[in-house]
Amino acid sequence: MKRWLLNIAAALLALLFVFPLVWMLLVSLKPDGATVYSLSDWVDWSGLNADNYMKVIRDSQILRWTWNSVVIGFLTTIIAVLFSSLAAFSFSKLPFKTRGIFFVLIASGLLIPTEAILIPLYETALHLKLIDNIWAIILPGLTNPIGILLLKQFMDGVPRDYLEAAQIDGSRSFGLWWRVCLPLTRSAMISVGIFYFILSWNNFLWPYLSITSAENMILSAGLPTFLSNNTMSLNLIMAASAIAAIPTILVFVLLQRHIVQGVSMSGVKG
Amino acid sequence: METQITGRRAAAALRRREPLRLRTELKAVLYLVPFLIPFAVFYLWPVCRGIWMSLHVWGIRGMEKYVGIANYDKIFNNPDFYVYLWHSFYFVLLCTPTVIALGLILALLINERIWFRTAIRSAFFLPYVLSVSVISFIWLHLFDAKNGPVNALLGLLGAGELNWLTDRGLVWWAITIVTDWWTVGFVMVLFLAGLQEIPPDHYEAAKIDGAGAWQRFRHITMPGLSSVMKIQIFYQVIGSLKLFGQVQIMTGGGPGDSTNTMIRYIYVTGFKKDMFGLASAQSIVFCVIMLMIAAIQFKLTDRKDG
Amino acid sequence: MKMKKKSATLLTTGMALTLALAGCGNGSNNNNAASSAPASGSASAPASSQAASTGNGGSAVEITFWNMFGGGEGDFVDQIIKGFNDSQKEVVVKQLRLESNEYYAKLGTALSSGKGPDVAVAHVDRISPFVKAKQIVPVDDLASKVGLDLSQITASNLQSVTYDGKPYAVPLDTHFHMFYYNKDLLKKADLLNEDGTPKLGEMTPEGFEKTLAQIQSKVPDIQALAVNTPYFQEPFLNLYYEAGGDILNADMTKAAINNDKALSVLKFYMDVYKNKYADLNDKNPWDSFSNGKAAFWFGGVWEAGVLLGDASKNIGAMPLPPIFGSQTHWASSHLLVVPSYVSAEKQEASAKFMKYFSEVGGSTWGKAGHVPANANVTASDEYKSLPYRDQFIEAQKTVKFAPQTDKYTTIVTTIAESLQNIIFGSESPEDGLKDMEKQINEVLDN
Repeated sequence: MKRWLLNIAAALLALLFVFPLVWMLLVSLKPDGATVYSLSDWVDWSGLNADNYMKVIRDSQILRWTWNSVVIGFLTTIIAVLFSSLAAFSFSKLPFKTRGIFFVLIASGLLIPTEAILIPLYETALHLKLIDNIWAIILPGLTNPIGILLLKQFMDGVPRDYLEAAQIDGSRSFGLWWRVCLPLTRSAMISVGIFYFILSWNNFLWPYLSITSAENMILSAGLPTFLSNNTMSLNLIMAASAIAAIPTILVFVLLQRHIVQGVSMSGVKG
Repeated sequence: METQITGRRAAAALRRREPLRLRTELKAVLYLVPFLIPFAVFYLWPVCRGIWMSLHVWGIRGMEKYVGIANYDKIFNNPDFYVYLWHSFYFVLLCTPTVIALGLILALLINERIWFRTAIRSAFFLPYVLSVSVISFIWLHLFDAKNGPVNALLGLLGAGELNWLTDRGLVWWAITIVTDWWTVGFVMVLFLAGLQEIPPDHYEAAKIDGAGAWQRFRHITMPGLSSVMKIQIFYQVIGSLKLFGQVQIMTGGGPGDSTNTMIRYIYVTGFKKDMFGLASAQSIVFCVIMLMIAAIQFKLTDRKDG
Repeated sequence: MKMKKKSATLLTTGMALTLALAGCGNGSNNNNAASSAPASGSASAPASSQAASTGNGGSAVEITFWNMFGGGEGDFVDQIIKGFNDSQKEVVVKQLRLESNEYYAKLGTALSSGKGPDVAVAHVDRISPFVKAKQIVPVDDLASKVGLDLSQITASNLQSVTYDGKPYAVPLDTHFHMFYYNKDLLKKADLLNEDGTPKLGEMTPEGFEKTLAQIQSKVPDIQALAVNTPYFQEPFLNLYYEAGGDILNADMTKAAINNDKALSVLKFYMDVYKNKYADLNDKNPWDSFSNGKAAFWFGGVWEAGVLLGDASKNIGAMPLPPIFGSQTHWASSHLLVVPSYVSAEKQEASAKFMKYFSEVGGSTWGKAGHVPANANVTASDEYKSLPYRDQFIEAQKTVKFAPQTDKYTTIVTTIAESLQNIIFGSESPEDGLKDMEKQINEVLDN
């Protein structure tokens, strides 16, 4: 009886959650000018077509922006995870006196988001001639210390026997990182990487300011410049939004099975 | 995987006969350098530079003149500053509790053996992977007073036409609904992981002792989630304070200036009014406030730890 | 000790996150590994593909053209660009259309960073700081190089872009607001004369409100007057200038906006909102009027192409009625500017585009509704035959441009913001004007 209620509540909530996305897709497939407002609009599926998508792809550089988002996302992720892993290794496995100072310094980066130092950051990028360059987006993305904090946790969990064994084999510290710590924290690095990728993909204000040409924009910043056009119909706006959304939705759906596994495994790990 | 092997013990293992203390030191720091370079250039330097800029009249075309603390004077004497600061905090107060409560409810729901568990969990998490411009544009039109499905849906329930985005009473709720919908999936996933950390036999034991569902929740679930809860609050507070995209796209700070936040204030002062110096001063003040909030949070959590 | 504890807290929190994320990501190795391959190879992609676009011959110079034409005018710009690109083989224009509210934030950053357009639209009241900072180039030499005779440009327009005897832009037009009316709705309200012009009654705020009240009572369900709430500074300045007001004092050292004239204009508009003659919550008033959901509209000449071009809409236009006394009203002018960082080759290509836009595009631009700055175009029969253009020429005689100060961007942003606060009720008109005055004075003092 009670289980029944729970199930229905969960299903209803889930429907409510996907409702905006379904609406977006439906509107984007309707002919120009058609709205989805009343119940009858919802079930009227005549005349659905992909014309709006064609028009958006033709009139804007949305595919290029998607590509830029992917490139910037991967570059940021890979570099950030490697750098974070190196730093985490140092904090976790190498004894040095100033580590406390460095650790607090780096952790302080967690407290002030990029958005809060927008103006001087812009000034800095201007002087480094980075404006309108994809590195203007990537480099500030590398300053997030969360990766170090997370990876350090995992490095701390690497048993010292492993390190000692490797030391006896003659590995120097770089070897310890490369041959022992890196492989052992692989799954953690992937988790951290996904986190960085999502952050980079969703980054809005900074790319919006630092990129000035249509070619170098990323999706999140390009979309508003393209869509804030008074004459654009709702159907086109939703088609553009859908184009921006579909890759992430697909990736997410593909990863779904692994996420289930992952969540149950994290229980075992604890 | 408690922090059973502390860094110190592992480190001791490495402490062979290094000839020089300094060398070990440098070597360890060397591993930090790749991270520290971008960190210094794009975080530490801008913070310092911001302090310097805040003491000047500064336009987008560069420095104009030194004015001392005049910019700070202007900030503290401008009622707008307090209004927008309050807006930023108001959003924290609206968004953080709602998103955490909702996230916890969803996590508990998913944690039950419901049908289509996987599909339903994806539905909850899905909005989180979309970018802020996408979600803002969708909801901008969902909330449309005349042709928006939200009002259509509420109309079925007998509600009148609500001006979600132009009514000062409603607009913050609109932004909160969007943000909750967008980010609750992340909160839920963290709670789910936390829930699975709690050993099932605790529940079994409590059941045998005759504890009801509420008591089990209060005495087992909540304490078990306390560390996850702390980080959730920490992230949500910072996340809410940096609200910009949703407001910029959905309301442009309006109606009037009723959804203008600190970040948007800084953006408008700097880039639309071309007053970089003043905007830097606003940034610095806001940074200091954020640091104070973080300090207060650490203090509070420290005390709880005993 | 203290420090240690804090970092301990940080670590526990980090731990919690890690566990959750580990859950998320554990199984995804395959995916991540696979996708890292294309990423590493793609670092150079943006540069290489920049060259490969629009196949219009191998040696064509490609220039980027920035504009903020979002409304009805956008389609006309598209036509002009297409016309130019089709008319010759040497230059290809690619446009980037930006949101008008954010346009100058973007253009300012582009000009200072040296990364941005090769030719851009700017308003006459915004270029003075760009000229002072030498961020845009004088256009006289460029014009003579490509055979653009600047003497075709109406003298007053050319004068407005001249600094130290040199023109720094090619003026495209003068634009301002007209008073548009929907004849069908006015007929229903018994307010249409035989000749299709509106009966407006007494030319005072009270008299005009009476007219609005009559529309409201006879034709409910529509707005009597659609007001451009999102860009409220424009309808405000129209009536404020009518009333004889100014933004700054004569020597441009102080704000001159906190006065009874401004107050009465604000009170008039707030009355209009309060009595529901206009809908404060309408985010797209231009659409409301265009779709027959409003009887009157103070709309830009640039909407003429859309509003007057379609006879079935049955819309008419006339100069703004002198509700507050005079006929004086707000105006601005679009210009084309070339940034200094642009290479000589591209500057010349941009100049060719400017020549085309002024001489050939001018007539298209006139169709959009702007009064072209090129005198040859306005003198042509083609232009004169467009609907209501005699009214436009009439209205142009009484326009008032913005004060010539390089702080105008800041000032107008301040005014726009304060006005939003006032009409949405977070400040009383009196306080709002006082606040505006204070802020403008601060800007001028710097």
